[in-house]
Amino acid sequence: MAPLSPLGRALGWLSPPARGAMGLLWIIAACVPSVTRPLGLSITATLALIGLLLAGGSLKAVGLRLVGVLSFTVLTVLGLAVLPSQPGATLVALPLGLAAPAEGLFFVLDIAVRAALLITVALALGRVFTAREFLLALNGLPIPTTPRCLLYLSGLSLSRVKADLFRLFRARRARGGVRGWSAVRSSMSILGVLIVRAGRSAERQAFALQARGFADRFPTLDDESPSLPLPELVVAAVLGGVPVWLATLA
Amino acid sequence: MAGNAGLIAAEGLCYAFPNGVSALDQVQLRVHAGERVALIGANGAGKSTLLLALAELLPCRGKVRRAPGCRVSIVFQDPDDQLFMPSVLDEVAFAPLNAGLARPEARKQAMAALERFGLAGLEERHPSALSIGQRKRLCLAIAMAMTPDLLLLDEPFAGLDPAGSRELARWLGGLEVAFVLATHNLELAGSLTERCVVLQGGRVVLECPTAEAIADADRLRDMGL
Ligand SMILES: Nc1ncnc2c1ncn2[C@@H]1O[C@H](COP(=O)(O)OP(=O)(O)OP(=O)(O)O)[C@@H](O)[C@H]1O
Ligand SMILES: [Mg+2]
Repeated sequence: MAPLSPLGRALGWLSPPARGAMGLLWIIAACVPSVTRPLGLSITATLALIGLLLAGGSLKAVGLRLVGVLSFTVLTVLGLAVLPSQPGATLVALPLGLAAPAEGLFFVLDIAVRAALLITVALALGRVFTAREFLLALNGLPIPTTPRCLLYLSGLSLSRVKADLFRLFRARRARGGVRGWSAVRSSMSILGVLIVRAGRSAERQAFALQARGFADRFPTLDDESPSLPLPELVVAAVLGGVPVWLATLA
Repeated sequence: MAGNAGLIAAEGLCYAFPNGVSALDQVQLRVHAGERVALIGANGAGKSTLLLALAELLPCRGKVRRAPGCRVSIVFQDPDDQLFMPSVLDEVAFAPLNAGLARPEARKQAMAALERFGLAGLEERHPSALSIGQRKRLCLAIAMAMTPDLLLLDEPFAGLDPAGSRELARWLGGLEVAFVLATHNLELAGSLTERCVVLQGGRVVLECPTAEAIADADRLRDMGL
């Protein structure tokens, strides 16, 4: 699979389940910050940014990921301004001459910020595991069977959608590049194709699971140790727990 | 396991896709132990759908009866639909491990299957990092690791290099397991199977010895072959 990122290499000495436990705590840390606790928010955002930088790839790739995350946040918040607000609500001015009700603004801002942090952390974590280590992590952690399978299958379909996306864009380039508005339109139709394909491939995957004797687990040939060794558990708890604590600072 | 009823028998199979396209219409088919059957038909004739139905993966009208204890393995037309484990070796060991085999046994069995299909040395690769032909071989290894009594093969030769095709044909020729082979390669169908079933528009339009069907070139042309 894809070579591990600098972050993945730095954490490579931790067993996949320990890295998985740490990753789960990072995900929690991304969901904790609030705009009402600026210190925790800025520390978490800084850590997430460092994680994204360490996730590797060219500077351009990192920049593109960052632009994606930021435009997602801005659009979510601006979305609030176009919703009708109750008459008499206090309005807060936004850029571009827009305005949004104050209470709603904080609520949406919190959700947008957490979602953005979550995406950033997920992007960083995505390069911390190879596909096989991801499965070893899931199998080694004490997670109930159904959510474990669902997590594995969601990871699988995400990587498929990503591969499909690359193929579709390559096909578009092969038919001759498009620019401007028609590029946006054709991207929309690519998105449509992607959704249809994902549905179809999910159906075939279900057939394959059934045909190949799936019995609610994805076993690997490497022994999954029944419990994590204590020292690794402590390291994972510290590496994952400290960001959670920092995120709660006011 | 053989018996008169055969390994597997399809009776009055009908299937329509959710969008209303009727893909199977009153299909009758019977396969006996050790028998080799070719499934022939133009693009869209319903070959893949029939194989899925025989593997009991589709909610069809009609009946599919299996002899007690008969194990069926299917190899899909598109290998990517069939692969979901993170390494070649884990793919092949998946069914044996799920069936409760101990890890050392499963590893040995999987290694032997990979060796047989020319995939030795690629054990640690991610399946998406294989060529299409290698992925097809992997799917065959996966199917055989399930020790089936009946193998359902959907275009196994498509995408293989000439040497790979010859090797697969030689291997299929020496196989003791019954198989149903959906293919556009009439020559290979002729050399590998005794009986053929020709599909057209989801119906069985001809069922006869394969050699006989191939000799009747005019008729095959009428059927779009
Ligand atoms: N997911 C689907 N939804 C609707 N119709 C479908 C779907 N898959 C196949 N069909 C239709 O069902 C019919 C039978 O398709 P099938 O894939 O079984 O053909 P085939 O004989 O395997 O063709 P090929 O030689 O191209 O593989 C075709 O008319 C096809 O258009
Ligand atoms: Mg087909």
